[in-house]
Amino acid sequence: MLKFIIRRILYAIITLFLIITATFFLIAGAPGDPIAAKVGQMPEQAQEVIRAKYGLDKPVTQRYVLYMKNLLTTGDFGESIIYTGKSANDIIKDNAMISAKIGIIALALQITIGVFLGLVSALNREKIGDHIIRVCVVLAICVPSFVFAALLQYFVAFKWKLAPVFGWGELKHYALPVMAYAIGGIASYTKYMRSSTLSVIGEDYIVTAKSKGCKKSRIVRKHILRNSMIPIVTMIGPAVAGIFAGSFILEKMFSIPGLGAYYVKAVSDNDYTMIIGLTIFFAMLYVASLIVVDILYGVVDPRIRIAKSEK
Amino acid sequence: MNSNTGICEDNVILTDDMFERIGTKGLSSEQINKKSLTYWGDVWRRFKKNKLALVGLVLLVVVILTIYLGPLVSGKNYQFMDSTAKDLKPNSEFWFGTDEMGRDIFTRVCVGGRISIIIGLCCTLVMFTIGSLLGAIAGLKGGLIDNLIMRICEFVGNLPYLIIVVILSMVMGRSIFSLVFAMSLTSWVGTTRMVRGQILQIKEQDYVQAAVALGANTKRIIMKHLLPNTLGIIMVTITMSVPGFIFSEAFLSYIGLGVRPPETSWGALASAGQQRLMFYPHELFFPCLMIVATILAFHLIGDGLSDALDPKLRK
Repeated sequence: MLKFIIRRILYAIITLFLIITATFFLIAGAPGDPIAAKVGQMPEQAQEVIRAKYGLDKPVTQRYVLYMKNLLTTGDFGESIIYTGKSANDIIKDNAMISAKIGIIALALQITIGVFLGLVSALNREKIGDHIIRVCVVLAICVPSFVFAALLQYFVAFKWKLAPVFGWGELKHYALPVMAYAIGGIASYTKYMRSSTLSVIGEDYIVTAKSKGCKKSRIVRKHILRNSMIPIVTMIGPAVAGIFAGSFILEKMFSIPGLGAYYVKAVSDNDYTMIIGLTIFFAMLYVASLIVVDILYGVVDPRIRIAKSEK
Repeated sequence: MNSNTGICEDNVILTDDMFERIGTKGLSSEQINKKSLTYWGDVWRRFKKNKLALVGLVLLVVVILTIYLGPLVSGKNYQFMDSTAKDLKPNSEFWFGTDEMGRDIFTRVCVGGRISIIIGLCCTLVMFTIGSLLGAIAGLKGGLIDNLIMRICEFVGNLPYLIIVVILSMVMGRSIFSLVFAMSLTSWVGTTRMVRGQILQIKEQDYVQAAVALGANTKRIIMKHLLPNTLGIIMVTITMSVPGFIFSEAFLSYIGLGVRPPETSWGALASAGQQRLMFYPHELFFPCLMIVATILAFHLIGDGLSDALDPKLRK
């Protein structure tokens, strides 16, 4: 197991290094001048000063070495080009929590409601409840989150005035984004939980437990739920990483000052340092959560743990 | 052996004319009336029985016919701006209404839909080709090549998909090609793993071993056994991944990284409509309706296919 974790972490470091390098050179080669929007009509000399400040007067390779050195020694992502005086680190520090809060609430809702609905649906297979849940799941999966968000904004907020259309700061502002965010996930967790439960129900150990006179509630809790949760655990990893990435659109739509919104803005503004800094941040989260899931997977499923340690 | 030689004990040689066929002549039950059912014939037969899947198929045909024939029927140009007809509600002349520049939304939804669907299909094609080729090679060859391919998969699978897509479409400029490239770059990993797994599994099956023992060459085994048996699961993945790509395209267009105007797509139309949602909800509603209808159709077909292809569900 330890060998496996070390190998995974090693891979992750290589992946991260390649992502940083590739992003750096790709962005440097991208069309458009990063400081064009900032300098505007400034005189030539002023433009040169700003260019030198960001090191844009140096060749790409030299910039890369400098960037890596700063990153590895101090963890510095560099100063944002658009937000003068603020480094990408500051922006991540200030705004990551906003994205994280919405994402974690939504994720918790997704998993609990999804697992519950999936279990109910599978236990009542081919009954009326199952049919209703399945129809809702198919519909929810087919609707993109931004359509949901728009519908919520239009009906709940604009027509019925139950919640603010957009904005940030108070508790009431959470309601709509969290709902729009969670609904697609609820549907897919329900779907996976249903099929995973159905495959578990037929297993021999369930029949054994039943024939031994085990109470139904105990079978569900101790045997079905535990085993059918295994595939759900694998889905959580990418979902944790997706907390930031998945919020790109919703943060923009609801005017939430989270990292996703900053990333989208940085891309449209050509803000080099912000793009690279946020990319590294997202990539680190993503890679780390994949490792955590791999480890979790072994914890949840002893069969895998044994298979891996024997390898 | 003993039971066979028993008959010939008295040195009687058995010839054909010593036997007579009785009781079976002219019996209709001996005739094969029905053509034997091929694998795909069987799948189609079971697929047809699934009403929901048929609804999906009809829905998809309707959507495709609409987006290709719609502009001919409406007789409008998707770029034509009518300054006297801005932001109209749906009416008899403009079926889906008009946008803020007086363009006919119905025609725009049709033309945009072509691009959305083409992007979805192209990405799926690239994903399928790379994925199944690499997966097949890895599964068939094994050893070092297999190991190498799986390591590459592990690496690509570690890349955060969305970030890569955003950066690539930023670097390569906004065009359909760069969209397809960026979206299919990381998508083939799942297909590769799946095809490899299938091939490894089928390779060990008794009927393949039997074919090898009977002297079938590699080509025949691939064409007759491996391909038909993996195709089913690949078909399901394909139908399920087209909507995924349409989703991603919509998403990218939505944050302004998709197709560039004057060309349009469902995502771009939805994005434009969203900004005017409060006053002209129809500008968002119709593109979204088409996206949802298409994705729903693919989902229903995919579900029906996977049921029809799964021998365990055969009654």
